[in-house]
Amino acid sequence: MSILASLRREDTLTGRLTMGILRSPKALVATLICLLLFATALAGPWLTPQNPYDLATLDILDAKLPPGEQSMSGLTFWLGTDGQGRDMLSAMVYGLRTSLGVGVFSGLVALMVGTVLGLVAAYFGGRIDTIIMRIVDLMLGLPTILVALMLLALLGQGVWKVIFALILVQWATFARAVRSAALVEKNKDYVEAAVTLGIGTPRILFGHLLPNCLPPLIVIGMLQVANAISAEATLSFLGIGLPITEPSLGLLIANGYQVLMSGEYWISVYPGLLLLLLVFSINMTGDRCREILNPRLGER
Amino acid sequence: MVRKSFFLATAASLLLAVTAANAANLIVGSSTEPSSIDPQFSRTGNNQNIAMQVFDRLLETDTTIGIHPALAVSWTNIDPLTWHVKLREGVKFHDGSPLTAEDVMFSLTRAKNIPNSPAPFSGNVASIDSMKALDDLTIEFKTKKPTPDFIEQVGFVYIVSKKAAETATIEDFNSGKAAIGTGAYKFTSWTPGDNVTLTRNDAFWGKAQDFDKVTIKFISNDASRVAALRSGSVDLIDAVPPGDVKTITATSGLQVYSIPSARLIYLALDTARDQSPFVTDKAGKPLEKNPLKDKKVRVALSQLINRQLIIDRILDGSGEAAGQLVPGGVAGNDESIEAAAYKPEEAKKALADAGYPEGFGITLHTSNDRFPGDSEVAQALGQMFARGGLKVNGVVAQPYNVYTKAASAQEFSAFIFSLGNSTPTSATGLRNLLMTNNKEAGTGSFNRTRYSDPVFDGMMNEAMAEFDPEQRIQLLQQATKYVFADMPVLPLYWQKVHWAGKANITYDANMTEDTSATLAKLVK
Repeated sequence: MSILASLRREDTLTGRLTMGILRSPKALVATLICLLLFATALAGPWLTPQNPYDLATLDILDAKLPPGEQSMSGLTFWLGTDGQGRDMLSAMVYGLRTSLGVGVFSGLVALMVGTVLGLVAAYFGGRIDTIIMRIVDLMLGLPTILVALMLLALLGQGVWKVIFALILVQWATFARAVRSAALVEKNKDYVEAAVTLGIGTPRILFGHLLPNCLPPLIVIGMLQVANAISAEATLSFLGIGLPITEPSLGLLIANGYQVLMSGEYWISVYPGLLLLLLVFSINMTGDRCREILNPRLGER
Repeated sequence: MVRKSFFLATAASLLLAVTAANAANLIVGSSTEPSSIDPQFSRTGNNQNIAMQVFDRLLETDTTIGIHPALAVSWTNIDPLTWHVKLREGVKFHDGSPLTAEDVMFSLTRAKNIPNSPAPFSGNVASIDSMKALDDLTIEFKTKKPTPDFIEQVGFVYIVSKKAAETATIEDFNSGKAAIGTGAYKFTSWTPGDNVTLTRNDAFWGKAQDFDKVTIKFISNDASRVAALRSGSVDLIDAVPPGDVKTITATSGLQVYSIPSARLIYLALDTARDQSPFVTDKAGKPLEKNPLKDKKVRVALSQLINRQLIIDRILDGSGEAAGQLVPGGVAGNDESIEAAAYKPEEAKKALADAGYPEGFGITLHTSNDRFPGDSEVAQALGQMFARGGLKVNGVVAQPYNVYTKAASAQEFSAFIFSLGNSTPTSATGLRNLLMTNNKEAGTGSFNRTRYSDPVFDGMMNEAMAEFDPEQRIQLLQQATKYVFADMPVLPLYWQKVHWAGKANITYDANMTEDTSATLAKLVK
């Protein structure tokens, strides 16, 4: 009861966000889709008829079957199969897991790294600020995909390597956002009061400054997750992200793209639609959060 | 009046447009791009495709790898160590100077000394001890040891102009300054990453060519290349993906040209080392003993592979199951050797007998851009091994340029590779792939697993020194039978290759997988 009550109170952050989203039908739909996709990804292994990552369960006798066909074992492939006889529906759910997992995890770690560095830069200023922000400028000056491509060419394939590459190309965005928010906050009276009271620096940084920098962080965090998912899909599409036996959405699209013109449209089209839906709904939700949290945009 | 002249002008311009279209040009969509225009820089297919249109060799092959005289018209074996080669009369380089014995001797010497060549022709000229010009068009060769297939070795080195190439750098070839050959087309330009353009050589010694201008566009992506043909922006494409053959054949105005090539796709196994980097026990820990060293295990693995299913399902029928190096029709093929049959139950029993009742863990490696379906075939092998009780720890696909280096550095345990055969017998392939790796002797240069069997080496040396052609082929067959009983590599299939073009041209599908304007003709 108290949680529900707090969600309705518009003076808390969560309350503002919840009510704001509920008031916009578009954002509500996008948020619901987001939640549904997250739930599907989490429950993936219990929902899918096949484990598409287990080579022993695949059979190339079932390869490239169109949607609705049945396999020898009686399993119906509602969205068809790919060139290895993977059930597309199962492969897409697993791909969604990978895409979301990589996107959210790399986004969160990049957020943490970026936040700490951004706060430190803003609070201490001077030479520390200069050093950190020049590195940030350097990172933001390089094209994301190019850096990730080079890193993966050096590191090789694998989920953790992709995550590492994505963290490395994302943290700078967070650092810059946090720094600018913290620069405004740090000159406010409450920070000065905390300093006068002799409160330790870490507590000022994370107990006082950070909570007040949260609104822009939430927005950027959501948009970055969508970006990370697209980036992972791009890397996999280019064939250097994840192993071919564990296709993510991008790799599924890449596999199908080669046979798109030969009539086997379903291998590419359905994962493409799912990726579109995922990135679009996260972006819509993120956009709405930005509207709610940005005081200059009037509507709360 | 004004009106009339307007019509006249329109008519004239229309006429011009028509004649321009008639001035036959050929635009080729090629899956590969050369690394240099210097014809001797690399013997890989991507370079040869351009080289063979601008330069000639002493010999040429037909579509089924039969050899024919080109710049050489005849060759005689005077004694086991001496050869006389007579050159064609009246052949002119693109700059107008005549071809002489000097140019040929210069080219054969130059082939050994190409800086940074990734795949030099040095093996082709390794047997030459000395050479001298008897007259302007006759050369006397002395070989280091009796070399019955001498002419087949030197015959496939590209002949460059001594005058143009003597002081030329690789850049001089790439810019066209030194790219002076005797071939059917003259080199015009190369825009790396985009295209090569050629113009017809009207003074060509051979058959007159149908095209005034040839543009070879590099379109490495399969889907894009097919789309380019469909949209009409290119006239001819190579490496048609097997899955597209049916739909292109059914499209009016387009035609497909296919031939079973002599390229063998095989699974190489780490047969030489006591421990192998990507072989583990079921739990994923490294194995003390390398099971791939055991012939029984290799035979069992071969029986776990359903070759026909791979061909039917992944390659859409574009392949022929293989049990040896070269297909029927190429000398040295032994008809009595059949591709290993699919016998999963027997294989499981054999694995248990060999001491692996629970199987073992293995990681397969493959390229993903070398030949149609390479990474898909590797995954299918993964499936089949997994069903046979092995624990497949992964199937790793890499771009060819990264992959080939790692494979040659022995970084893998089981990996897919291909070997194209462009010579009339299996001798070259067997020597390069399965004989003991030895730089001095020029054997085993593609033997990436360092397989070594002295008995087989002896059989090959005997075959390669045999002058009687029939006897030689028999010896090659015996060596093939002996070595493939041991399964040093698992032969998978010979691939069928496809070209597709507009209906107004025809193309000679060839076993050597050459994509060249000289093989295309206009339908008149």
